[in-house]
Amino acid sequence: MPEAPVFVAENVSKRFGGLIAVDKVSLEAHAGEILGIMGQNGAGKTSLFNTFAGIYVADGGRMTLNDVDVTALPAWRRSIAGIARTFQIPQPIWSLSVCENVQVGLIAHGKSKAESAEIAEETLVGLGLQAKLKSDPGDLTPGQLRLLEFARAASLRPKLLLLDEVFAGLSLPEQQSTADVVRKLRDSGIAIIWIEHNVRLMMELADRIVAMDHGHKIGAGTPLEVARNPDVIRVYLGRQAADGKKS
Amino acid sequence: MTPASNPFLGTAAIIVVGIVCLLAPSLNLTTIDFLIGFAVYAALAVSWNWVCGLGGLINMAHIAFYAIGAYSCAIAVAKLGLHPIVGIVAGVVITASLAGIVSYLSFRLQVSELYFALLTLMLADGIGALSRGFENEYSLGGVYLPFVNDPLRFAFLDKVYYYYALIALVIALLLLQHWVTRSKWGLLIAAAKDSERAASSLGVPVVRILTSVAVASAIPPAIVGSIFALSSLYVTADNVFLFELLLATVIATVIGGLGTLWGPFLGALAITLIHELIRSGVGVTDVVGLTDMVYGAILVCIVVLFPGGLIGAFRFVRDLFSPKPRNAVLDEKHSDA
Repeated sequence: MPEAPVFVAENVSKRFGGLIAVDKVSLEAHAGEILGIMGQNGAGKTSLFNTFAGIYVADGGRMTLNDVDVTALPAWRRSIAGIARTFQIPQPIWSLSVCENVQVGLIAHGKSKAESAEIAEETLVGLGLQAKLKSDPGDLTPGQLRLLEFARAASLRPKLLLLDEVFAGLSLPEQQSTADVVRKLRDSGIAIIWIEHNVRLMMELADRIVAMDHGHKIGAGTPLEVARNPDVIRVYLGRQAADGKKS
Repeated sequence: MTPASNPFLGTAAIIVVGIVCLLAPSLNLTTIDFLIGFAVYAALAVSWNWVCGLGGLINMAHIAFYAIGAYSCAIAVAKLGLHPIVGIVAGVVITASLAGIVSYLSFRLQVSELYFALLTLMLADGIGALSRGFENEYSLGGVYLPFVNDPLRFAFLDKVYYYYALIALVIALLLLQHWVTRSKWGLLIAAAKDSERAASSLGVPVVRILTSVAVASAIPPAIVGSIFALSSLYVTADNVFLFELLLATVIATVIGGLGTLWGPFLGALAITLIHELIRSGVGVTDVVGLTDMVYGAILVCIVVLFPGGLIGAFRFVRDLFSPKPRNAVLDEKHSDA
């Protein structure tokens, strides 16, 4: 079973003018577990990630990483502290090669150019991108761009890894190899928070799940518990289905 | 950023520069002036390329940095009786500090690219206005440097030495760029320029990186300004705050090849040659501004025909004679020709 929480978010909120994108969400991510975040479009999942990663400044609440308050830290300092993330829409550095894209983060984390090249190559080969090491990101398929996004974050060996729909657009073999890497990362002790629309995949991979709707946390627990949660059923399948489940 | 190199252009440029330097003492004053003009453009263009081509920041205060360098050196020598090196160092410190403060505040306040260009243009204009005001109040007619022939005080009767100083500066700047773009810093700069969000999520301190690029880019124009002051022995707002010089810097960088190593160097050579050839063809009594019109038309043609700059045309010709497989071309896509 997971150990002490690596990352703790307490009542984290994010507003955009009158819109409350994230409303007092609290959660914990433990070392060696995959915490899934599920919710429909507009549920506030990506805003939550951006707030965790420091891209957005939280309007309320507190976040700690290994008991160190990271709430006020900018994105790059959170990365150095041990929070890595992928983006829902891949954001490669277009002027750099695929390998250099992965090297950048490693260099920013203090690795030498040679060390970073070695780790980047190893990570990319592990994801089946060995033929694309020197290619431009523009030559990658959408699925390969997602793998690159994943490789950049995973190569940093973070304490907390935020994965934003990392499986979207991947072929089945790519999904399988990526899932294997995600499991390996989890087993190595990294805490993973993972946004995913593919419910079947989430039920298979996640150790715990938090369900969100309109910025609120509406349910949390094991995949089975969340699947049986009436509020989650109501959001996904409608009120009638939820009432049927209750009765 | 892949560190593939193209030794041909670099070797050719080094040989040509070497031959010109050897021949320079026997050249007439007009040719020396031409060479100095080219070296000034090249130094300004190469350093502006750092901030704009590598850093992605349209910094229009480059001309103010040049002027500050000129004034610092002139005031140190003429008004305070100090060694020129003191004025050069002062100019460098002032411009670096100014560039650092403006860039850092702009990033912190999340000023957009166009507003950054406007802000720096207004900064240059403001400093120019301030200089004219001070000049009118305290130093009518500008600052005159004493005429001495003392190499230890960087004062030479023969102007060829100023060309040597400028071309040495250009070579040093190119070597520095060559090294930086292949270093860890090069990757961090490229990341910070391309995607602030992605770079910061990877741990890249984007504000620091881009501020450092802006600071580094501000130093060479201050040195060039100081050399101008020492060679012309006369500094006034009207001969250092030249909008034409800023324009030439931008044009040389863009038509040469923004973000490349040799592009600004080629661009500076091109605009100097084009301008001189047209001027010699049209003559000095160009009452209708034919020189500028032809100059503008040629620049438009270059931009239309070679959207990637003259360096792109060079690569095109080179590839015609040495076709390479697709992967090899990709490897060199981000190299500096």
